[in-house]
Amino acid sequence: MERPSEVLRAAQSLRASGSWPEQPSRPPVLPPEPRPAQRGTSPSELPTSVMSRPSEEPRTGVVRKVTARGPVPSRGPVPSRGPATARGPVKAPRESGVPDSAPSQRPSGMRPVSREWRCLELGQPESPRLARREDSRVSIAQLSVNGERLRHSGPAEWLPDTTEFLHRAALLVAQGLGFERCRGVCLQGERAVLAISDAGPSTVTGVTGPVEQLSNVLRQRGLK
Amino acid sequence: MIVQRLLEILHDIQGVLGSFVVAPEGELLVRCMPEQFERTELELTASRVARVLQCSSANGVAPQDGVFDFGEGKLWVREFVRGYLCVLCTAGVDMKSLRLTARLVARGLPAQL
Repeated sequence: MERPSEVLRAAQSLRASGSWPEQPSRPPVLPPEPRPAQRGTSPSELPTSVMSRPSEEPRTGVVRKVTARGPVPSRGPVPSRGPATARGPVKAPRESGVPDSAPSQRPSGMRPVSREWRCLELGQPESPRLARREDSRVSIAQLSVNGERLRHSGPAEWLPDTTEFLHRAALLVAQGLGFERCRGVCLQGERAVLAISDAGPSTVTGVTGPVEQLSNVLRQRGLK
Repeated sequence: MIVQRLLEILHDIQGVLGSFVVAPEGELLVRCMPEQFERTELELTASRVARVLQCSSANGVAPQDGVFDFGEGKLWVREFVRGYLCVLCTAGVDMKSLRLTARLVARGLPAQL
């Protein structure tokens, strides 16, 4: 761990030897200097710049603090190293547009080290479970007994209305044959299945989709 | 008479209570049900069954087989050329036997009822 005075001395020697990059014509935009927290100041009263410094660890999300020793993935320009001050290296503005792999903008002898927070799972291939869910052609609609739509997913836009109608019609069929209620209806076509069932005392669920994907429903209903 | 005999074959399966045949438009064509089921009430039920099946067909699921689960009983439906064969049975019926027998009966039903 270098002390600030040593860093300042090293920077001055680099500038004197000419190996330090030229000072940009426009001074870099410095982040607002954090004021020291006063005694008795609660965290909510602190300025936002203090609370959201990039070096702080985020409290939520799947992110890791990584140390990239090679070229940094295309995640936007990485700030190049500017002149060192007593408080440490000052970051250049993000609009500099200098890629991290550009060696001319970096002082000699410094490793391209990036200490950004970034999501490690962005570049990961999609899990097969999620991909399978995308390909699914099964639609599900959930309604209350009063016909209020609670949930709907899948390509069959007609399913909530059909579920409501079939649920009422099936109840009338049940009562006409001497039963109190209809717990479920399952209709199997050549390629598709439509199933409606009670999911609890106040919820009705309708499902439709290809026969191959709803074979369990057919088996439960005794149609397979 | 042939139709009645065909429907009575279904009663050989344990748990079958009765059966009837519904036209695609909802008309009650033939029935072989216990006495407690009145004809007018059964006609209304037949038309409702047909509406349910028509609704499913209108949405792209033309039903070949179907089952209404009433908890203590079931109504099994099989499509055939002239309409739908409906079989009322108890909850504990052997669905495999019912399925096979009902398909044979539906296949044997004449085109003109």
